[in-house]
Amino acid sequence: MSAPTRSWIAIAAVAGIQTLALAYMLVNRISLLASGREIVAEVVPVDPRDIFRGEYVILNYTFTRGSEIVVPEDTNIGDALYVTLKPAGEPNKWDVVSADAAYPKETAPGNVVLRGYANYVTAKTDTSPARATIRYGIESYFVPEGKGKELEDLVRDKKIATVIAVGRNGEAAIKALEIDGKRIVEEPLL
Amino acid sequence: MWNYRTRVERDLVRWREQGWVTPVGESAIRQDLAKDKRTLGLANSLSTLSAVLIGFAVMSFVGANWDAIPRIVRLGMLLGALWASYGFAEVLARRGMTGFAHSAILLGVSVFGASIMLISQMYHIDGNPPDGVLAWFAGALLAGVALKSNPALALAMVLAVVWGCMNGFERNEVYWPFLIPWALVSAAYYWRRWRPGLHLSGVALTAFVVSLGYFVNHGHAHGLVVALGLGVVAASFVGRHLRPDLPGLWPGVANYGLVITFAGLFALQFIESPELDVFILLAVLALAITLGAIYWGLQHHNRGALWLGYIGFSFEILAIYAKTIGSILNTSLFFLVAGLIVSGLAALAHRLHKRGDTSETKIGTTP
Repeated sequence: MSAPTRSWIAIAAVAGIQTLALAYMLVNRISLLASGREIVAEVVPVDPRDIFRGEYVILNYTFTRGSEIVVPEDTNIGDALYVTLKPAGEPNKWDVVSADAAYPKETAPGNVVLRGYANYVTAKTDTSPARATIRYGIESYFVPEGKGKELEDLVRDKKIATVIAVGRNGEAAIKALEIDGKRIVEEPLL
Repeated sequence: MWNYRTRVERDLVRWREQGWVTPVGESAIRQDLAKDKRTLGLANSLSTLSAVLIGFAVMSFVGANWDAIPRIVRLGMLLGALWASYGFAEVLARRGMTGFAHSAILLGVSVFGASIMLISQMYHIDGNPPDGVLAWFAGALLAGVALKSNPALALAMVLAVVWGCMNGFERNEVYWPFLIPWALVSAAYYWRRWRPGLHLSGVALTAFVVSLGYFVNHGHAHGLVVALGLGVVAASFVGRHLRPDLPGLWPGVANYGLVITFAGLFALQFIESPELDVFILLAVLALAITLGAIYWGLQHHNRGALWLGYIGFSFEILAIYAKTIGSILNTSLFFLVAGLIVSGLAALAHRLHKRGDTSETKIGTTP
């Protein structure tokens, strides 16, 4: 094989492998959005007046709000945790049942398991078990350019919720936003 | 390269006057120097800079006004830019414009990183940011090795460091896995025989070792850092005897060891706030090391050690000044004593230097 051909092969290999890596990322996400179980979770308002001003919004949920979640004793920062949620009477509200190091073997039909990562861990003491803040990867919503004002007008004093797709391994992805039960800014998958 | 040429030009005149080089030899050397025009210094630097700038431009697309474009078109644009950059690199390489080709490769790697970020943004992927950096690192390493591109390998080291820092700060402890990508890129530098790259490895590892002092043992492991630094210096001396065939390597290793030792001593003195007697002992030790480095740098023509010695000495003096000002030690007295010691050392160095010169001439005359 001549040298020029070989260098074209090297170029194609590099660009091809990088393309595959990006494609893997996309396919993963799209299949999760398309086939994952859909749940709606209410967002805990932080500053409801200008949350859509920036480039992205930080979304808080009742089950991310931290140190309340009891985790296994040997949890380190960055460890994966499987958090089982159950519907909490009111619509779109979820309560934490448990947080485990592995995907739970059995879950009640209405419950849902989310995979998250320990963000901040408070070690176990004599009086209280180990607790952690957990990040699920559904805490940032990138505001479409120019839509901030519009969204903000919609939000005023209304309840925001996110539509979340949950995969079989507990992976979670934001599908859309809901304001007062109305689904908005849902983009096509591709 | 530039430095080398001007220096040879200057020396040539002297050598000819001394009769060591014949006029024929001189013109042959000049021709050889002129032939070596592989590096188009400025043009290459500018093209590398332009790749960096365009890379940043692509990155600032994050959050920019492109939501009007459907997702599928955006993805197409990203992949198109990726393939175009690498393809363009190959075309430039064919035309002998190696420097520009490397810039295009660097651009391709930047587009890859930007694509990771943009896809994350488009799909609200907010998993673990260091994972994205790690993927980018892998892409940079791949491009650097497969396309034999040093700039891409340099970016790979930067990304490895960013990844290590993100993980280390998140956990607030030593992040040992950093050493894996570090070793991979370092191996690539060695394989490419790329000296500036090996220096990047040295700087990255030095920073890692120094950071151990702030993370291990609840942030009080600066003594360990000093020990490691001295160990590295010692290793360079041993290495010089075991493998004298690598004369370019050992002085560099010794210099990094010096930096590590000094950084550890500095932290012990000014971050740990020790008792006065311990502090004085440490300060004397630190000053001795910097002066030793200057002496050693002069003796062995190691410019790195010389400069590190000067810089370390200045830092040490400034820090002592800041610490002692208006306190325990009378600052002016301290500087008087320090001045006297250094002038004494200067006299000593002068005598040693003279003796060194005569012995060097002796060695020079033996066949």
